[in-house]
Amino acid sequence: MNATARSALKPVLIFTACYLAAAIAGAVVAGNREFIIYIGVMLVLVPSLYAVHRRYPLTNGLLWTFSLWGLLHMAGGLLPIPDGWLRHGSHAVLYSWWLIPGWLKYDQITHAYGFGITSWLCWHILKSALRSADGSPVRPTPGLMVLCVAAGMGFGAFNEVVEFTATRLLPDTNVGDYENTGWDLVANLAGSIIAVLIIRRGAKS
Amino acid sequence: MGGVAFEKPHRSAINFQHRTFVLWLAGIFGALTLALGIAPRHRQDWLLENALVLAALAVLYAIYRHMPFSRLSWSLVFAFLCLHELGAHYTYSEVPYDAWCEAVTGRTFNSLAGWDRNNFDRIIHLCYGLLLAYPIRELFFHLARARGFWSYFLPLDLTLSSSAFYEMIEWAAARVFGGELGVAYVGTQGDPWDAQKDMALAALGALASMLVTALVNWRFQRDFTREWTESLRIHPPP
Repeated sequence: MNATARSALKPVLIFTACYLAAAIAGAVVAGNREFIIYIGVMLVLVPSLYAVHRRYPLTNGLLWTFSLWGLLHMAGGLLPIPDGWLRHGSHAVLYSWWLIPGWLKYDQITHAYGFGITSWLCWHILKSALRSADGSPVRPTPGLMVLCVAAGMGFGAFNEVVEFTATRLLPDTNVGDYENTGWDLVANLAGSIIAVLIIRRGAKS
Repeated sequence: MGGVAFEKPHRSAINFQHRTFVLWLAGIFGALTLALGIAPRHRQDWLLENALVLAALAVLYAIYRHMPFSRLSWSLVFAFLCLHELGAHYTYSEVPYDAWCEAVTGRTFNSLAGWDRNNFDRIIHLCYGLLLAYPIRELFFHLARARGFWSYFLPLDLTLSSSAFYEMIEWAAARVFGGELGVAYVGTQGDPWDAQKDMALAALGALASMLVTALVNWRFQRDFTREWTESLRIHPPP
């Protein structure tokens, strides 16, 4: 990792460490055992991204959007919502909050955002690793963009499998059911498509 | 050159490799589909299950014309489609593999395996990854010239994402059609984690297939290590 990549990483790591520490402290005080899952996800996500950053230095934008995803994830699982807010299920946390009753939950927004930026990350890696047949840098062609959406969807599916494993380890989780999984997958797809549309638009301009 | 390089296949490069072999497989599959389509257990479910087969056949025809798929790949695709037709005929949750096993061994397969539900759908999801990851790898190999790490990772990722996409279609179809047909098509058999288990099994199958492929290539492909290392090299921005 070069000096530029290292210096870009420092503020993001400090910011991430701060909200993680606050989340752990809050969960311990509240006696929330589910935080183990959320911290577990972060313990996988942060070193994975660090490994990717070492090999394919990530842009500032990518680093911060991923850190923000971590924040949204921790807040979703651990921040309680007031009694008056409409929610799905018995857990009164942000993840259960209906932003548009019956249609859109905070959970789905986080899914769309998270797997949208995962598609962006895939594009970042692919454009660093690939070359066209004539040796020139690859462009965000429709074929490559489909591949990035597929990659985002693939990681989204992997996340669903991990969530399912979590339900085996902790009996009372706020992970969801068959219906919720369907909407999660739709949100992942929507986020990935929006991300590649932004990438294509950015490349044209 | 890095791990993957993208180029469009030449339009005139129509490929008829293994023509006789592919035609034989197509003939057998056509005959099997017709035979299993004569009196399926649930006609509407059979039609719904075969809608995706039609789409798959269109893709396979394009591959047949433009890409040199190996005999192994064609055989794997053929095997998967045959298994699917079996599921479509009986309806996935009602495939009588237990009765077949009992007729041969005297015990049901579920009692031997310790299962309490009809797991034919789960077996097919595992087979999806196990049988189709290799043809997908060949697809990336020829279409995108994927090499090294990418030629193993991309099929795994595509298997997972297409599996997720299929679960979405299944879920949407169940919502649209509802009732008995919706239940028959989804085949969750009351399991709220059906989608996750299906995707996990597909990924497991693909992982196993790619590991075996990598192991064989590591043993017999002379430049395996060099190709793997080269595929992970970063190209500096211009």
